[in-house]
Amino acid sequence: MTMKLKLARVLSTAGLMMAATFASAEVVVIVNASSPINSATAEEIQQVFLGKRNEIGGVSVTPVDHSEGNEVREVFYDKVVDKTPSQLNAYWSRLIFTGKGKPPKQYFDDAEVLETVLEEEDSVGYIDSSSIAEGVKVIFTVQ
Amino acid sequence: MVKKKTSLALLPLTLCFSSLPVLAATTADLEKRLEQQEKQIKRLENRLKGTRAAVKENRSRLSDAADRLKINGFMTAGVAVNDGDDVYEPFYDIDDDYKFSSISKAGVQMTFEVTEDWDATVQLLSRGANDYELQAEWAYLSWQATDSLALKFGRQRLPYYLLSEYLDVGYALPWVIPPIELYNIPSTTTDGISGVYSFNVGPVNLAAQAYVGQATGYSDQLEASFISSPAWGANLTAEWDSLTLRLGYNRSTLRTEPDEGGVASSLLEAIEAAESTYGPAYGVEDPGNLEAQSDNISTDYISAGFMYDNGSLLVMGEIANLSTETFQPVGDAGYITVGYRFGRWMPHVTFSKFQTDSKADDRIRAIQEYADAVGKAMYANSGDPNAPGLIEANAGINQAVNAALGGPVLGTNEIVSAQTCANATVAPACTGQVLTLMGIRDTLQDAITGYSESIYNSLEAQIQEQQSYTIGVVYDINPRVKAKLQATHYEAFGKNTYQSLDYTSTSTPLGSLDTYNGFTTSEGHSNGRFSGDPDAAGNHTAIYSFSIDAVF
Repeated sequence: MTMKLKLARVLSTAGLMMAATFASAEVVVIVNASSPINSATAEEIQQVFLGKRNEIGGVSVTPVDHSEGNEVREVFYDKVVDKTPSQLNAYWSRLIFTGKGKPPKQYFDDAEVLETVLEEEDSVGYIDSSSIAEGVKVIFTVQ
Repeated sequence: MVKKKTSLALLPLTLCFSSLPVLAATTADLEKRLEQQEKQIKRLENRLKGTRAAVKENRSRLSDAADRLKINGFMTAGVAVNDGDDVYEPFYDIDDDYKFSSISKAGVQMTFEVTEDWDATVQLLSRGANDYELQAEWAYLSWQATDSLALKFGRQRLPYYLLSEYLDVGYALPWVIPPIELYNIPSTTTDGISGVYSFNVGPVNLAAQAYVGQATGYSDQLEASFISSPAWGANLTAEWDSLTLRLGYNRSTLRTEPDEGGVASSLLEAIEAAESTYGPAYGVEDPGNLEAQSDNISTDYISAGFMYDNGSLLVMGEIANLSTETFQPVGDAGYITVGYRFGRWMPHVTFSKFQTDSKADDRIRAIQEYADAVGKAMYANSGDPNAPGLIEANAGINQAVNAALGGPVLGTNEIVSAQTCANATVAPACTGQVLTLMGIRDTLQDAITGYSESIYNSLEAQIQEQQSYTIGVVYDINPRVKAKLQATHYEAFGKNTYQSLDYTSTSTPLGSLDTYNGFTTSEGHSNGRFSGDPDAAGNHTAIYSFSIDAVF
């Protein structure tokens, strides 16, 4: 009886951990709930985060980024923007040192990104799907 | 028991009533005091609130200032060496000693957001090849006039080619040394105004850039400084998915300031002398288009480039044509690079080539032909006693010497010099007319070698060709640091034909004397982008280089 209970506990803990791992791999792109944008394509998001465009469907947007080394950032840039951290740095260094572009402002974690998207209506950010809160809406789910 | 309790319970009440007036007075007093204290608390609370707000404001002001100031930098630490000491690479200062200063450099950039639309940026660069002297590559105010139009006022890098504006950011390039066949323009910045207009056409991102300003520089090959004013240009960049295409046009109006005694200065002087003195004196017709120009020289750069980078495969290439009205070695240059990323490693290969189109430049050939004709006229018999040719003057000397010595001692082309006159046998002949003729002859000889020959050969040396093969590898140490290793083999330096007045040594009754032997042509190879003697180097050389590059 006790053994079974323990096993069940261990299993459920493992399950929770697995769920957590799974959740941390799913990244969603969010905007303020009041934004007229309801969805975006991967290409649009890629271009916004590379500074190649500043609107989605005619609505002007400002990208909000995570700081370097953040897991959610790596997933996002790998899957949506298709660049490794090295390639991304090379890309931005070409723009920064020629005065042709600035990388998006970086925030510490999901909470800060969320706060910014809640505060600033034109912000577009990305967070782990488990961090979704009221006041924001998902316009793209990273597969 | 109960009664006792009651009486006991009543006791405080009695006490209360008995002291009621006193209590009333005290309550009013207390209330007043309480009110005062409440007020005091409110005041303190307000003050605290004020302090808190101030702290918050201060904090946000601080973080705001920190947010508005961006500091970025890049750095290359590396070493390069040239295989052998017969040639030397002047642009990066690479010779056969392992040198850390050739390719090492550091740059730091500060951008301050003055307002939402205005930025102030300074980028300072210190290059080892330039003795680590600090120079401002960028120093400008930029104005985001609209969402799509940005203007810059101040110092900026010249956007000649695809990579020109960030050529010193080693981290952003696959090579340790970018192809020197194309990237060797001795002027990197312009002071003026530029604008970039960005727009999208469907999935294509386009950027049109234009600038106008002034630029200065120094040409190693001509040994002359130059000022471009105005320097202007325009380019169009199109990005679509992994592909980038770029077309560029640049034009400068140059004024040169040749170093005294340098290549350009000697050349200009020689042409001037040939045209004004020797050409007319020896009846060689001036073709009329030889104006030795050092001012108001137009220079045009046209280029086309592309880059394809899908994350794994990198293919990039450029071709460019540079044309100018001066003698600078100009022509066509280009390169193609292919690389492939395997995780952190990216091996790559490059082929690069340049050739001057001066060979087809009638102007240079016309000057060479004219100089050659003047030289040959000065050499040969002119039949004009007022302008004797070198051979004529020399024959006159020898005739006079032979007459004085009472017999045919010297042949027509043998050269009697001041040294020969020191000979006891010849000495009595070295008088009056002989000495005058020797003076005329020597002046002619100097003119032929100093003007005609030097014009011909200096111009010939500006006709160049070179190609190179590079293999290299880039390794990502971490997302901000890379290591790069590269070997480049340079070869096919252009073949040139040089002219010189030829002498042979002959044995005479007066001992061994030099004899005029007409003109001779010799073949050699041009330097390409190198200095020194490519023939001694076997008409090829190699440069090996390694660097560690970082951005922050």
